[in-house]
Amino acid sequence: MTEVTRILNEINAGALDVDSDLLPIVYEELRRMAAAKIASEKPGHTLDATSLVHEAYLRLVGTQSFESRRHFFGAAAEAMRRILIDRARARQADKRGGQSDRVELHPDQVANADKGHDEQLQRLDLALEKFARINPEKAELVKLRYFVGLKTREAAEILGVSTATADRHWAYAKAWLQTEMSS
Amino acid sequence: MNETEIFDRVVRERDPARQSDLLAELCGDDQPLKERVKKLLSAYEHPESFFEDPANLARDRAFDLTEDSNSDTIMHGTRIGPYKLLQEIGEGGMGRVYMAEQIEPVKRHVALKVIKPGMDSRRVIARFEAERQALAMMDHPNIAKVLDAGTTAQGYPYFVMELVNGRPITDYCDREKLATSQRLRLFIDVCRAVQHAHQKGVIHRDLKPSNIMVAEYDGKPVPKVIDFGVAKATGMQLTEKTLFTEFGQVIGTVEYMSPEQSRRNQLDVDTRSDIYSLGVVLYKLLTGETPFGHDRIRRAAWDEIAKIICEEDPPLPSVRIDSSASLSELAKQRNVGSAQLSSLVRGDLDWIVNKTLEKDRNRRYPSAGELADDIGRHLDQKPIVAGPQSSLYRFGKWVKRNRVGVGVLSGAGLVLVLFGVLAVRGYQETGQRSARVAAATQAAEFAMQRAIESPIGQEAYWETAKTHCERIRDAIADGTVKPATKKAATDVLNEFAFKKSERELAVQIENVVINGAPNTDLASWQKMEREMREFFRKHGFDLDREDPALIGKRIRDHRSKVMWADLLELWIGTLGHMQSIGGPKLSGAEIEGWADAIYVADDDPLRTGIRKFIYQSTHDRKLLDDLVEGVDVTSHSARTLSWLASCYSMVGAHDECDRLFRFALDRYPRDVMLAHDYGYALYHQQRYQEAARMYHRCLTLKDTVPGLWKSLARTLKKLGEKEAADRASAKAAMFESRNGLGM
Repeated sequence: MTEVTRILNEINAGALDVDSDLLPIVYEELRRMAAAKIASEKPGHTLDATSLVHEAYLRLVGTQSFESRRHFFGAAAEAMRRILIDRARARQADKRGGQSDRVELHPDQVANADKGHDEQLQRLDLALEKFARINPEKAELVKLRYFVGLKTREAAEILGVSTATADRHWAYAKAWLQTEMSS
Repeated sequence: MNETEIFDRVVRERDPARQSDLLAELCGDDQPLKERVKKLLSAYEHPESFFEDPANLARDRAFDLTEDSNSDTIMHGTRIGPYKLLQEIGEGGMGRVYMAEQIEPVKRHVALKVIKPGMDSRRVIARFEAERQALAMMDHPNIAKVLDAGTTAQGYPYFVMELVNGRPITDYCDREKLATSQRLRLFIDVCRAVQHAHQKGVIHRDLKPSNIMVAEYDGKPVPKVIDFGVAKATGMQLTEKTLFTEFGQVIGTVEYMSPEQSRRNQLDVDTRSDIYSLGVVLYKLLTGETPFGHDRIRRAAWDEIAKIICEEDPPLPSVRIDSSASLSELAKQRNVGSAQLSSLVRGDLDWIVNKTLEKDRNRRYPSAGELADDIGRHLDQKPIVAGPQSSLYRFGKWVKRNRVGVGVLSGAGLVLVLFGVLAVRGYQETGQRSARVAAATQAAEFAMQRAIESPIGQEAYWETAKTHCERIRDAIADGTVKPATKKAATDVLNEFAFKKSERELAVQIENVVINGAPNTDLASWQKMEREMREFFRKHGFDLDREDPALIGKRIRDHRSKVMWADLLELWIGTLGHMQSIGGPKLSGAEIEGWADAIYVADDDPLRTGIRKFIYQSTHDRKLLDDLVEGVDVTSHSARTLSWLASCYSMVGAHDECDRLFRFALDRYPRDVMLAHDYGYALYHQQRYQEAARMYHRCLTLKDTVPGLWKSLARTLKKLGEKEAADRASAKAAMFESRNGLGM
């Protein structure tokens, strides 16, 4: 049994908590894997969160099927959200110049960093935070789709709902977020 | 219908014309609701490209999260608030440290620590603000002030501290070849600084050599404790998460972490955790190593580390020095001959370090000041507080302190000189050896006491005690020890042999019960009953033939009376339970005979009362309350507490049952039987969720017992978690077959 499997078990038993016990490990693992990927690829290479999370799952939980995939993927989605938002925020700050003096960035990074993308990502994050307070379950679906890049069917399976339900939730969530972001 | 439901319905309507009718119909008079849904529908109809491909969002161009990129972004000359970075001076688990120049309001050099990404900046700063007041109150020459905190433009939190141009205390001492006594004097200053902070209500939480810098001022070494408030603000929790990826950087911290900090939920860390960390620093200063060894901690998995820190007794510093592979190096760094080094540490310093490293923080020095005082006493050759006091030990101190005086006196005349020298030397030789045996005896007694108190299943303390006893045996083999010392030592050895065998019996009993009791079928209980009877027979009690009254008397007079009385009780309880699940009926005479035997065997009023209660036909809470009235429950064993709590469960007094079990579990946290009894009580109170949690707890303590898995499976089934229950049952079956082959 891996450490993470044990933690998932204990979360199921109510002895541990996703946010404080699982999320940090998943976050660190994803960040480390992402860093390793970047180091071995050419600068400016596009990183795929979906394969990253699946790989992390294999590394941390293993191949055995496990009923608590939901906890794991929930934590992974939250971790990816933080990673992506942190990065977007940092790039934004760099470009504005912020309080700090000129900061060196790899030319490829500057070229590739899509300003609109980063801004939208941050706005989405704010909207999502609000949405999660009203509709936590639908927000979980959104996180799985946006930050892990899962298909509706995959996300539905992990959340334990039917694909039809997930489709309905997805339609509503998307409309809600877009409305919120344009208001 | 609410907003979501209306939206769902309307979206499913394909015909646009019908849509608006439907909307009007469903929203009725609620105009604001209608407007909101309308907006949602319009967004749904005209999605922005951004939303179209979710997977694309999950791709981050320039997805560069390496630590190095962080350093790249903060370079020489960068300004952070009013500070200009000059050069990087260090890197730790939490971030990088820079030397920086403060421009306003005064121009000065400071240390600036930038916390690496991944932490929630707002929370870090909020936590820092919460402690700012307390930090500002600290004013001590051996504490580096924390001046400021903020967030960089990139969103990383940073801390500004008084700049200390020094090296970690252990490096400094080794490099400067400071003698043990000089090291101790520096260390006393550190203790005083920590004491000052504690008095202002600030706990450090991350004391380690790299946070205790020594700088020279006017040619004199001055230690400065840095990073006060940082560990708290960053909410640093050293668990798997940090170990997982930043092993190398964090490991330095883990080695200095107290048992209570190593536990998963480090809710109550207090000043005594700092005392423990100080103890580790002292250990390292004296021996050149941390108590459990850097390499060992580095190689261990997280669970093992926590286990080591929480359960293992480190070797005494003097023993560690003696067994060090690099003794000559150690001695050289301490400016002393190899042969003398361990003798400088043996005795007082062993005791002092031992007391700071106690697993139970109640046994540590209550304050850093008292730790400093005791080291001061050692340096002044006065008796120390740590370790047991004996007149022999105190007298040895007196002679050492007055050795010069004794010499002067004997110089009064030739006869006196000769007499004096001979007498003193004679005393010193047997005296020193005896003192050493006496010290070893006390160490063994200490270790043994702790071993006896430690719950079954945690046998590490017994190994420690055994090592101490072997040491005594070797020491007294030599004939020059004083008779009284020798007798005391032999007594301890005999006591140890007896206690050890008693403990082994207790472990065997627990195995029998924990394997048998969780089962529900008669055959398992019959097997358990047979094993118990066999156990009695092997130790001279024949339950089949002997008169119960006689057995009762023999147990009463037995040296391990409580243990045998417990087992007899368990055996009778087993017979009773078997009867209730279809086993052989007991005759009235049999029941009475064994009940009498128990009364004879064990006359403790609380236990007698509990028994009476159990055998009574009507169960009334009042009887229990009367029974407990005026009894100090806290002084009782895990078994007794468990029985009492279970009685309260029987009468439906769940609150009292919880209170007693929780108290007992707090006192005996690793007692499997206790946790299982609580789980059993919870199960019968139909509190299945809690029962499952309790069984999980049992399994984390001991996961190879089929009965525990069975209990868990039963509970999971009640919770409707069929799959999990099946898995637990499979585990039970697996261990059952394995035990069947192996045991």
